[in-house]
Amino acid sequence: MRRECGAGGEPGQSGMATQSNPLQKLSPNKIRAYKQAPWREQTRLLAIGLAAIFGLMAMLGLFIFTGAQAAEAGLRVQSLIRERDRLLRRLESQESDLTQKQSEDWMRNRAKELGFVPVGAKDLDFLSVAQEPPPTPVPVSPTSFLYSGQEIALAPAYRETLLEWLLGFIRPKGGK
Amino acid sequence: MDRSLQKRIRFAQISLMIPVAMVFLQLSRFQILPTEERRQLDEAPYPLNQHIETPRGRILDRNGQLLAGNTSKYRVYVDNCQYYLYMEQFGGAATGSQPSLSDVLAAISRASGAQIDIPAVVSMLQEVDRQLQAEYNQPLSTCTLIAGTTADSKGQKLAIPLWLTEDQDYGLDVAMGRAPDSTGTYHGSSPLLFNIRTEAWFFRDYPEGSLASEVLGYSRQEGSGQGRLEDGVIRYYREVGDWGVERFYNDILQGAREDVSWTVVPVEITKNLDRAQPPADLVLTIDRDIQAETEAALQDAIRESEATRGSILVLNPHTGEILAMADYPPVNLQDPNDFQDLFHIKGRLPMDPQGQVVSLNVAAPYEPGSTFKVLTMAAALDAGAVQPGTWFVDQGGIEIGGAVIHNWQRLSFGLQDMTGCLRYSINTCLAWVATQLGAGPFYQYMDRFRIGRLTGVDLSPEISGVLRRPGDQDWTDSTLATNAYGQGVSATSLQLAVAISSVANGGIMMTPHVVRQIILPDGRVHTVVPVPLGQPISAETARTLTEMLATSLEMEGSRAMVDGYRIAGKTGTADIPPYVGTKTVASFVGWGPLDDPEVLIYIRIDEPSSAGGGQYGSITAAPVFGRLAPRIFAILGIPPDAVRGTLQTGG
Repeated sequence: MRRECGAGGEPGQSGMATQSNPLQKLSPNKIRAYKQAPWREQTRLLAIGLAAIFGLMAMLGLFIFTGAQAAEAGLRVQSLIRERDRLLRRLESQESDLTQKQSEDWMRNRAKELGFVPVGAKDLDFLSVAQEPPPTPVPVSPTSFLYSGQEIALAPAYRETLLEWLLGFIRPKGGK
Repeated sequence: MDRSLQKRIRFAQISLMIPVAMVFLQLSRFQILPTEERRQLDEAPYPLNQHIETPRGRILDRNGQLLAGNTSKYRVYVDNCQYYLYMEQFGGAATGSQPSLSDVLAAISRASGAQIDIPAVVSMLQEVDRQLQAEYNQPLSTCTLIAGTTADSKGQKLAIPLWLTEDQDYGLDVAMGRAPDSTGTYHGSSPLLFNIRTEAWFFRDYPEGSLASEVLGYSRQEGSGQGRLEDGVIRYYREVGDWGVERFYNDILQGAREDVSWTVVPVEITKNLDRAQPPADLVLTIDRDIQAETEAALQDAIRESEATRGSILVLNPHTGEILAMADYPPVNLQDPNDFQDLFHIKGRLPMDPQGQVVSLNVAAPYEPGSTFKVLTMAAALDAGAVQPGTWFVDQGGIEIGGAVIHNWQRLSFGLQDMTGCLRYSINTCLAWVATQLGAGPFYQYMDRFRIGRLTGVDLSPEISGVLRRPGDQDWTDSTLATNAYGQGVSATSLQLAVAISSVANGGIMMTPHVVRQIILPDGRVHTVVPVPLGQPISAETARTLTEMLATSLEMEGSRAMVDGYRIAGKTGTADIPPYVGTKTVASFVGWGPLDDPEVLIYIRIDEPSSAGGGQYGSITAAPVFGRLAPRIFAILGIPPDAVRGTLQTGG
């Protein structure tokens, strides 16, 4: 049912209305300006539908994209851990090789070749020093840093909620 | 609807479709054209099964020099092994057929430079494959490569493991196109190596060879190399210490190789089990330089005296720290094949021809002979049974408990005070001293000296000697007399050194130990605090006896004396049970400098040649002290007595 309405009262309310009813004088175009045309409604529904699909697809795409990125980052971290382990193995081996090349036996033979002789206590000069120098700290194991007890430093963005981020943004760290 | 409106609608539709199309395009790209990383992600199982391996904790000397570390070796696997085994029957690539296992093995050998007995390996793997098919109806899917085969004494065929070095593994990587060659060029991957992979495994390494082998011990991996599910993870082996520090501290040193599940989600990566069992490093009290000097002195002594075995122990009597510990023959920790033969040399005795000993200082009790007289005299002086000036008339023999005690070479020394008894090491005198003290107090003092009890040193295995007490089977009054001069009682060099260290340390006996610091995985350092083991005698007795022993050495003109330093000490010569041969154990214990002893050395030389009186401690063992002590004083920076006196008075 088409419902038409005008600026004045209801049609046929007075005798003057027949001649002075503005609605009857309005052009069809002007009447249409106040109606929802079918194509307009359809277009709007289509737009809403497409926007919903778009939003859904965008979210889905974003989820897949970030998920894939996260997994890639995980694999990359694993690859780095493997590389780190390989380097640690090399460090351990090289530390051992280095000791072998500076072994007591080798050093003694080399000193002998160079003409050194073992020194006796009577050949040494002794001085009285006020304070004994501190002992040289033992070099830490190449693998010791793996057990430092500190957590891997992840960016806060990985953990904080949007609210936390907003609060942090509004109240910067260190501020009151 | 006018045309312009339709155009606008179409434009809006297309505009909205573009992002939708882009989303589809992106999804398609993920599926159809994945990147290398995404391909890996697609192929990787989730969660990932990951090998993690913890290296065994390091062992360092007191100055941080590495004594035991780790190195890596690489094991080679051939996946899809059954296919290559199957192709063996067609002659392999040489006949134009598909590559066989022989071709693959030849390619591995060429690329890595490793020696592989190809026919033997193929034959053994075929045999294993046949057995698997017969028993489990499954082919050999993945082969762990071996280098060849050998046969044991019973003719049983044994596999020789194939372990590549890092260089050999790198050569394989170059041939597989994973790493550049020496010119920086990458080569195309050989199709023969398509199913090859290698895995790194940690191995214990002793870069100093035999140095301090008695202290360090040896660590080996126990297990078949096959994973076993334990405590929720798959373990591949357990590390076991055979003796020494490696054995005593195995629990905190040991590493592991395990299979664990890993997540690839970044926010969960911190939860990954990176190292299942973090090991600790050990810093020993051993000084590498003193250890090397000690071993050199011992080897010289053994060679000169033509002895079969021997040991030297160097400890700080103030702290109980063991600065060096050596026995002969030493084992080369890089060559475990000779271990059993060397242990047999160290353990073979007339009473135990098949004996095996891993450590002469800690695990091989012996009858010490006259070095034990220090303890008898200490007990008698402390109890007031005798004084330094107490006289004894030696007639060459004394009857106690029905047994006649004689001196060495059945000599008679006449009238002697207690210092003279120690100087001439008169058995009859010390037997008489023990009777003056009485059996009860004598054994109480021996208990205080912890004779017959373990010292509690942090080395394994520690074996105590035997001390028979009144009431024990076979104990008689004559046992007291023989015990007084170190016969009929057994103790290890360590037990004797610790007991006698009380004389050097003002009467206080410190717990012997070889570990100075434990460096925990998180970097915290736990320093071992010296702990007194007891005070068997008073400080006054210790001072008196030290002076008596120093004087006796000086009166004797002992070859143990050190130019510039005043020292105290006592020789020992003990017959080896069952006392039928002429073989002896020559020993010497000494310490110095006398006013502040920082070093106590216990020397034991087994079965020295009797030429030139070499069977006696004064001839064989005492000169070793005379040569070794000044070297140790120099390494420790202990000035001669005169210089020390000048420095102390600020001169």
